[in-house]
Amino acid sequence: MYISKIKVEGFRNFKNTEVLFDEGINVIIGHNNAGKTNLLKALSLVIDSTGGSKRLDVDDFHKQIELSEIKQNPPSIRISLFISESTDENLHSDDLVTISNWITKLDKPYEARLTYEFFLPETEKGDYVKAIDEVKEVETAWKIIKRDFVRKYVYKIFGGDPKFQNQAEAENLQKFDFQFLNAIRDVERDMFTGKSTLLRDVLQFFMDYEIKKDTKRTKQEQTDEIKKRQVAFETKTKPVIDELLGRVKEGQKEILDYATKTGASFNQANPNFEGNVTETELLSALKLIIEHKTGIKVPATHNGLGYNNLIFMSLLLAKMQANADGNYYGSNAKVYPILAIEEPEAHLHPSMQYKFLKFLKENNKKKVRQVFVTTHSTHITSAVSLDDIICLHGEDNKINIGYPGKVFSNDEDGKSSKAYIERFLDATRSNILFAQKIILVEGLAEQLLMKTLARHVNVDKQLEDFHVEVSNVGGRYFEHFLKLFDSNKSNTIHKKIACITDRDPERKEKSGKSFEKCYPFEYNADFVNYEYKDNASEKINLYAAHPNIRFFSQEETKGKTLEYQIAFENPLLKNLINDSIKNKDELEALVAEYKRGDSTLADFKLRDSEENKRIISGVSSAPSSFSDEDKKKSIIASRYLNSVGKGENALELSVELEKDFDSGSPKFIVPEYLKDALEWLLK
Amino acid sequence: MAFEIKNISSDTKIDSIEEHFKVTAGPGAGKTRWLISHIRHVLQNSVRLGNTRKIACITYTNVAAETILERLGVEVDRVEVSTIHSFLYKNLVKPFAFLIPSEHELDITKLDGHDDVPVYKGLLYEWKTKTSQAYITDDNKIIKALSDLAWQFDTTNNLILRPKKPYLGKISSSLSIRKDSYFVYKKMCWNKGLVDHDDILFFSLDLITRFPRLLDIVRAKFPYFFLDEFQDTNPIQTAIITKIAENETIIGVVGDKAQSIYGFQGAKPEQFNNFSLPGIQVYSISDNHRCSNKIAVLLNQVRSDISQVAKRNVEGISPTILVGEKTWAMNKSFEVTRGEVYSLSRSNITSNLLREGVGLFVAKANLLDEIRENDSNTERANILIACITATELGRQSRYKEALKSLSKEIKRAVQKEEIPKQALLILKFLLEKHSTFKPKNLMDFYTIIAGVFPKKISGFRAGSAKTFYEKNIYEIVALSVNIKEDTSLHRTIHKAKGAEFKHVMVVLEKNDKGNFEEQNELGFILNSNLDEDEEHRVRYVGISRAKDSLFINVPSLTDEAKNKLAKKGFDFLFEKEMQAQKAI
Repeated sequence: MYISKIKVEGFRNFKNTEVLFDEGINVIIGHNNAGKTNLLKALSLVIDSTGGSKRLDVDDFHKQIELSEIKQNPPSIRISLFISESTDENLHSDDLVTISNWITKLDKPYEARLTYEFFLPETEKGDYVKAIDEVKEVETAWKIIKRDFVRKYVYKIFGGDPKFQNQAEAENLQKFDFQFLNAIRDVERDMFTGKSTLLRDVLQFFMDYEIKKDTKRTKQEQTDEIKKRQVAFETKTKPVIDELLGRVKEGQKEILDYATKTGASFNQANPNFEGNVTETELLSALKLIIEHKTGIKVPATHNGLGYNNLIFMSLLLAKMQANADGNYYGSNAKVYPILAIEEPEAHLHPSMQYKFLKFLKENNKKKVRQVFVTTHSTHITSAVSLDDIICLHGEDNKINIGYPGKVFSNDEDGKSSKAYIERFLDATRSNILFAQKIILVEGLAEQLLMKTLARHVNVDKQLEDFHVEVSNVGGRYFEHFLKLFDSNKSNTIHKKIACITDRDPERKEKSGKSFEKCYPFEYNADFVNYEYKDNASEKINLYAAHPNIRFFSQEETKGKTLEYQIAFENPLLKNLINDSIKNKDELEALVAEYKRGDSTLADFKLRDSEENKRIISGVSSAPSSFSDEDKKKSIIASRYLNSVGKGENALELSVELEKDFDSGSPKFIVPEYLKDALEWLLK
Repeated sequence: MAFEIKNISSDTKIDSIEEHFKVTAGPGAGKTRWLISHIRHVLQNSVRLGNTRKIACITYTNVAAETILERLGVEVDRVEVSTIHSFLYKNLVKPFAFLIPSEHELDITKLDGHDDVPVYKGLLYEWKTKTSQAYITDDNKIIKALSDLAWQFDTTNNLILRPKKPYLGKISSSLSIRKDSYFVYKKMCWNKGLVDHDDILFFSLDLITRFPRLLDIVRAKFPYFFLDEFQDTNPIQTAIITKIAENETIIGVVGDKAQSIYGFQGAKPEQFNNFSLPGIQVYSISDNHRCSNKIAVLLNQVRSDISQVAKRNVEGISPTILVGEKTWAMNKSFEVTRGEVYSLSRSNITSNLLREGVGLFVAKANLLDEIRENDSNTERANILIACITATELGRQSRYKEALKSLSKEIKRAVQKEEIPKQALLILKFLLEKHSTFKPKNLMDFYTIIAGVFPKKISGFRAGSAKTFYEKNIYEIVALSVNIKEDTSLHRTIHKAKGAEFKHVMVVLEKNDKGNFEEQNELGFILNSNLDEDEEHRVRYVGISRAKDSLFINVPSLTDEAKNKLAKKGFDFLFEKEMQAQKAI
């Protein structure tokens, strides 16, 4: 069995949310305040039979509800866990026994349900309605609930369909071992001495482990053997105690003299000292130390925080192994150990995060049955597969749960997309899973420039403030990514996605076979001999009315690429032409001509080459929508485009644009389509 | 199929715990003792129990379950001991009620345990209309038939609902209740959440037939499934456990066919004999650890199929026939033993009579039933009956059951949270007032409870109800209260099942017409036929409860019988010595 789903109603930021889980590891990600911790808390309310109070407070209610709703019914919290049959589950194991009374669906795979409810008992409802009836403000209603009613709330855990109100038996609830490590863990100082219960429990369980695990011996033989050792131990410690007693013998008279005088001795009963040491007591003398290769020993408390966190977690895992051992704990043994860790990355170097998650995922299946991890670490997400990731995304108080592993169809196309994304999402690029909004771009230049461009568009709307991630998909592979986010499809993460793609117009000779790239001024210029198309129109139209995805590209008749567009819009901007550009002199001359104002097209001289001839002739026979001004700018932009090497130029350009912006009176004109994209995204 | 029957003793540990088994043994053999030690044996040696799985141990009564739990001690957390009804309710019917098909019309939100369900007049009229049987006017006969309904297998092994006594369905020579209307009545009860013990068996078999995966759940929880007193098992129960046994779970049954005395509940002695499973091992215990040598000799004469060895080897006093009135016999047996003598009677009223020391009462009718028959106001009748029952249970310190009986009636009058408190208040009141209303008639009793009952009870107009209530004295009516799982000094033989006592007096009585049918009553000794005559088996169970001294009380005795009995080893004591001598 495994916990296959949680349904949270009316709890903190969850109005009514279902989250699906997988067997094994579940990595829950999402931006801050998305509700990751709340989700783990919800789990623990149902399943954690030991730790923490299950009583809640007024602030645990979901507050985004209307006054009319509160008036009708007192707010309540309901959290349901659904437990499903594993594939190939052995029905005659402890699993089915544990949950059988809670079954809601019998045929394979079975489903059982546990429901935590926090509610105002029926008997109090009359008073409640009276108290809240006249209230005008929702705030006041909450105040009244806090002051007069929340203390009357009760909680219950039901098994099966909650409408039948059958309370789940503690006996079976206790079979779940829910260990929760919260984010703010200060690995206690004495965690590493035998005084701590955790370490002592673990030591005690693993003491004489070679006997306990020896299946060749019968249970009786094991017990006898251990008993023998215990007796031997006590025999050995007795002289030590006796020696101690001997050493205090003289002093004892002095000490106890007072007792006699104060009257503490009466009825001939005299205080004395005695003692014996059991193994368990002496265990607390053991300390965890770190022994280095050099032989130097350091107490664990002097260890780095990160290492201690790891050691702590490994002790916990050892403890969980002990808890589930039927030979050791008998019927108190746990059947279903669950580990929930908030942000395991705390204090851990990225490569250790990676290793730790790999360990949890691969080596620990047998001992811990299900693991829940919340994280902000891209190193962790890159250590697990897409299937393990659950993405919480909140916008406008609505929570959407995405399952990146489940968005791909099972056909060839889906499989190849999935494989592509899995390869793509390395530790850096996994950021798209954590961001609030995303800009997908085709190349490095857009990626490098986008942040600066955003400042130029609106200084108050910085990309960082909106948790926008600009991700370079390295070409036109948008479709693979959009499968993750398309809110019209199930299991997706509903983030706002702006895709920025180049117009890249193309033409084909009517007699010819294939389309080839062309300049904007060549586009639609000769319908007699050519057919035309461009790269962006189809996508722009396809997503024009999409709820969370848009495509943006340069203007259809005059656009080509980002660099082309920048030069086209900003022919006078000197800073465009930096040292990393070829044909610098020629370009500067063209800019000078343009600046002169009264120059004609003939004044725009280009170095003699096939490509330049094509530009000149193309511009001269451009469609009628091109003004002379447009034609001049087209020459500069075309020449500029052919002279830049993408990446390095972009870096220099971004530095120049920053300078331009910082000058106080920025001259740079942001291409319209980028402005549109940013405005739509940050709306 | 012929089985090799292995002889064991009550402390034998059988080699394989992974084979189905049947243990057959006579009274006092230590069947239960063996079962408990076998449970320990399995707990210690099974490799299939995991961390959560349990042994199911089914007993015939709650008292028997308590006894086993007590004797098991600390191991109980891995053993579930209960009656078959509680077991099936807890593990099948309650958790999987949502699977019960809607065609059964059970309202599962009202499902709350299982209990005896009296016939309510309101429901009766509703049912008559629904099934177009308004032409049957004799309501009391219908009530008798409906009260007797039980699930049974027909010839094609389908479960059908019929009165256990088929003649009850016949209202007159020309008029019968329509057979298909019984199920309609049942469904009307279910729709109100009224579920009786028998229904639990029906629902369980129905559920596992429809949803075989439920069997896997039972098997997952209980890899071992043991049943005590299996000779009194209902055939539906046998069908259920046979299905469970098909896979994974090891079934073990313990019993004695000669002690099968619940024929009226569908048990058949041959069912125990015929019970078999693939690979089943059959064991028998021929010892008797209970009875003195003299009693054992008697038992061996009554029974021909086995011969028990009296292991205690105490000679004991000869079994004695006490000829005379039962209170005299009680005193006489006490004179002889100087110890507590348990009286075991055939009828419930007799055992109550003995307990109350009421000498004169002769009527054998169940007066509680007569309240229902005479009072057309069912609610009033039910409240009165509940109060009488609660009082009598309370007087025997069976408070839990007393409160349960009251709660059923209070339920509709007060809020849920208030029920326990109200029930307790009324019970306390009834017990305090008992001496006041004990000698008075039911009308006075009504006036007393009407003042305190949380619900208004309607008053009386002239009519059969009023006459009946005025005519009958509380004390006499109370004799009809059937205390289930009676643990008092005076009980019926059926309620002495599984128990043993140092001194026992079996009370044999005159029939309704006031005649003592000697051949019937003593037939189990004179011409014993345990195989075929359940009445013989009942009396055999009665006499086999005794450890040291056994008395049989008869109102009269013929010389012929006396001579025969003398040869079997009986002594005799007569209340009226002279008369006896005259007869000789």
